Amino acid sequence: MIVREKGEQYDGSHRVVYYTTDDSGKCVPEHVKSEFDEQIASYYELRVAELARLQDSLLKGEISPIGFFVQYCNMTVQDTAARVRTSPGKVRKHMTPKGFETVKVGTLLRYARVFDIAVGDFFQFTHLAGDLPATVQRFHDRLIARITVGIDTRGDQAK
Amino acid sequence: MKTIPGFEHKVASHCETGTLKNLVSFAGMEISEPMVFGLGSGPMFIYLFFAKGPSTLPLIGLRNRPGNVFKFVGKLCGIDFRYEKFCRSRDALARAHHWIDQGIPVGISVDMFYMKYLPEFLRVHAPSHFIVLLGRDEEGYAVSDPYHVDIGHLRREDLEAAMDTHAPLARDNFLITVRGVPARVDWKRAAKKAMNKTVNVMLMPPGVRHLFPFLGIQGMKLYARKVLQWPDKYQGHVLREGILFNAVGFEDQGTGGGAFRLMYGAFLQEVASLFGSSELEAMAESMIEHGQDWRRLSRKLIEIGKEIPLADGEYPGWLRENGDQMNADLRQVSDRFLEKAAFEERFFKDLSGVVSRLD
Repeated sequence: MIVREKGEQYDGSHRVVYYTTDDSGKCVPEHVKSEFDEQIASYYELRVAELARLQDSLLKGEISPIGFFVQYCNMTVQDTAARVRTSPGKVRKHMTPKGFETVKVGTLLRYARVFDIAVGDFFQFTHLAGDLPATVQRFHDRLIARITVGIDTRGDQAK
Repeated sequence: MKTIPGFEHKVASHCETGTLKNLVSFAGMEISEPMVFGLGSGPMFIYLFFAKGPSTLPLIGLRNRPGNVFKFVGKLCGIDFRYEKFCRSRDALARAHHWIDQGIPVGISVDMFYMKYLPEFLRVHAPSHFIVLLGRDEEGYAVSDPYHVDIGHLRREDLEAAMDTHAPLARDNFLITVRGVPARVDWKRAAKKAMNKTVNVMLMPPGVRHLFPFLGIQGMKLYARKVLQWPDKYQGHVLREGILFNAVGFEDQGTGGGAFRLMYGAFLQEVASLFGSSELEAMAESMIEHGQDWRRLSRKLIEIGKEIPLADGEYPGWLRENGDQMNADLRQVSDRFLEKAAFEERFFKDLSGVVSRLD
């Protein structure tokens, strides 16, 4: 998983269709900037804080990488279990550092799909200082990932 | 990437209504988004107090079950939708390729989490998002998403993950194409039927109401009561994020309470002009006012949420100083929400009477 020093930034470009009344009292659609842009921006701040908190917890050995991603993706144990096609009890077990050691690669692949990461992301974070560009390419259904830090001169399609 | 010629991508307030509108418009039938929403008996309130939503608080739903708008509009207007369900995403995509290659756009139900062209805050695990596939090449797909101003692009890997989620209530590997649209639609008959259906769903018979206290007007009342319990159940950033997400969800994210009510008001205005009914016009105005007031209530929720500190360490101290004020504010939100529930109860009963008098 690539972690940027400044975290993800919101550029304020999102637009929504609101229904508002015009001068004649008719309710009409309007494609405008969200009224709640400020709150959306604060969501990004919160994500940075949440990432730091979860990483801390992970490095202290309080949660496993699966526990990290379940919380980071704002998921419940039940929802994760249904998507990974396993039982909630198993997910709870995998969310502990000890239980994580027993997870098979095939199951990790299913988790990776749910969290939209590569299998390697369960084992490492790539911290990027400054504005260094980085791209990730995944192969074999997320089993292998190629991370390119800096400008990719090979012209591969990057994520 | 080459896309299906003649398909006009238009943004919309809501994904299912927007997708339906774009699909039938390509097939030659013009219908407004509010009309789709109204004929689809869209308005609803669901407070799943037992299930966690994409935020930290329980799941709220402000419209009927995803897919029902397609079902109801198709039935009432006589639009011939072709629904196809597959066990594996590979098979569903093979079928989608078949339609795209024939120049037929394909509506699909996907998980928003994998829609990489959307901003990150919208990419939550919501498995009932509707988009249209309108082009493909070796790299991926061109998609029309009503929440995105341009044609979006998805890689095959992401689309497969989005279509095949195994999530509860998801419509995995589900394709919708338009087989045909009617030459003429009896809009009056369709609107009357749809309004009656909405009344029944929102009010529900007494027995059903007690069985499902989290649905419709009862659900709104339950939500109003639960708002008061938030500070006891959630603290710090969890409470802050939950409150803010509720407000953004009401208005922006997939549209919501205020936004949906405004769209329903627009539908009633359109129907009132069809019938030339001043009575229905007045009902439409009161629904629009209700939607605008709901938006004001969302703003109030934002004010409350913003006061809560981002850092959990600061929360206990902040609560000692501001706890009483927050509780008073939440009490105000709860009371106003109860008023909203009372309004909707009265409104839908009155609407039933007005509909019975329409010619």
